Amino acid sequence: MNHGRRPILVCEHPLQAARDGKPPTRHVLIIDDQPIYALGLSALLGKEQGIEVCGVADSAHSARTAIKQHNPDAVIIDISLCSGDGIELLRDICAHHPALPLLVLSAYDENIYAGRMLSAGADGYVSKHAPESRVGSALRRILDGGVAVSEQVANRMIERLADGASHTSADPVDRLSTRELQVLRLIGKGLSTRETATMLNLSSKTIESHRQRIKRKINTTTSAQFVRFAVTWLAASEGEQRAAVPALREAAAGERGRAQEHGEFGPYRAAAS
Amino acid sequence: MRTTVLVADDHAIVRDGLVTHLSTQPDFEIVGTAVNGREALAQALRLEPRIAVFDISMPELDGVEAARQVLAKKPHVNIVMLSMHATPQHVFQALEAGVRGYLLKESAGQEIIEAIRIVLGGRRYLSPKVAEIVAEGVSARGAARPIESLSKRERGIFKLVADGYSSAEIGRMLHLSSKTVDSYRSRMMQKLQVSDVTGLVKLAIQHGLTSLD
Repeated sequence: MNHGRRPILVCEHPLQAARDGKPPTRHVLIIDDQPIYALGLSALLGKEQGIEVCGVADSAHSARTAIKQHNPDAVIIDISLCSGDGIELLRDICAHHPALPLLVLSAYDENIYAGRMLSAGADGYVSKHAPESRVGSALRRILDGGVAVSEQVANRMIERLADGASHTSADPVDRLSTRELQVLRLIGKGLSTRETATMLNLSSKTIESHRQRIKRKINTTTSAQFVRFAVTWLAASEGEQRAAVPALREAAAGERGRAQEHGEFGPYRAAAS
Repeated sequence: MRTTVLVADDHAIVRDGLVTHLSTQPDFEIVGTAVNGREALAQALRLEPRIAVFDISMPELDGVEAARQVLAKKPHVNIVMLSMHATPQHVFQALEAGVRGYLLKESAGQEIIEAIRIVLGGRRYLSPKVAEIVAEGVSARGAARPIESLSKRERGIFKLVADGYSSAEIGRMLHLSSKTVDSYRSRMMQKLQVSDVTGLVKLAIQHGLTSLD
């Protein structure tokens, strides 16, 4: 937390504050590769008292440069960067700037990602589907040194703590580490082991051992089972986001129904059972 | 005369972003915004904008249905659809409803202004990725699907492999040696032009041979 104690050379605002007696303006960097969203978010934050957006970065590389250049008081990051390295970037920023408040703003399911992102070093997680007023309040909270998650996520975390070791989640994906989750997502997108390794900056060997561990945790044996799980899990989790709107929920259900109708291999299915 | 524009999206941040972005053009005039499909329809009928930007998934009335109803009464309104995803079904439905443009939100920032100008010029605009999906969809409808070239036995094995059974298990089910299953499997993968299990599973899902559950 800076609270105006930054060296004068870097930022003149503490001087301003001393003169006016007003709290210093907090500068926020946005990391998001959807220009329309970033524009809207900047406009929203611009209306907040004492908050100013000092820049928008649309890639991991430009984000690192921007942080060095602007020395922001807080960073808002969308981990679903198209390049696929959003979570890596978050870890990286936390490692290099441990005191920098970080708010994750994401379309990913908060039930799966919020806890993990906090463990990875984020100070808050707000879903892009939440009312926009949440962003401002979450930002203020983390600027004050607090943690900001939705009530639902907070309750879930408390339940988990209360249950302790006796709590076994029905969802096998809950047992995956964040790294394993990243690997699962990339495989679900159709990337090969080598491509996944490149994306996450790890060796193919490491990815392969992650694959094995994930396979065991989610209880699949063959490669095909594993890939099938990854692809359908990804489709379902993205489908849930789309299907948050009633009109598309029906369309999604319709597609699933049509897929099931196509089980036409009667004799083989009988043999299989 | 300035081009009148209506922006409809249920996400306030996206809506504001669109308004801000489009307002940079001196010849565009944002005449209204809407937060759901019903409002989008009402505003479009009332304001008759030259361009209406509709998010495909809005509460109360989805974008495609709203577009259809607008165009039924005011066919001169040019509707540009925005979507997070572009499945062939959604794109075809939107085009059938009469929209003049279909953009992916991920690239809307760079494309929407150009898209609007192209639509104002009387042509349709599709994000390049969307155009690709449309082209694939059309060619898949016309040409024989490679899956149809599989024999009945190959198709059966295809489904079992995609369902996750090993060659040994498949062999037991079909009373074949696992070696035979393996050779069926490689011949089939050649016919389907997939090089690995991932490709096989994806193909199976696409063609509904294995369910999403």
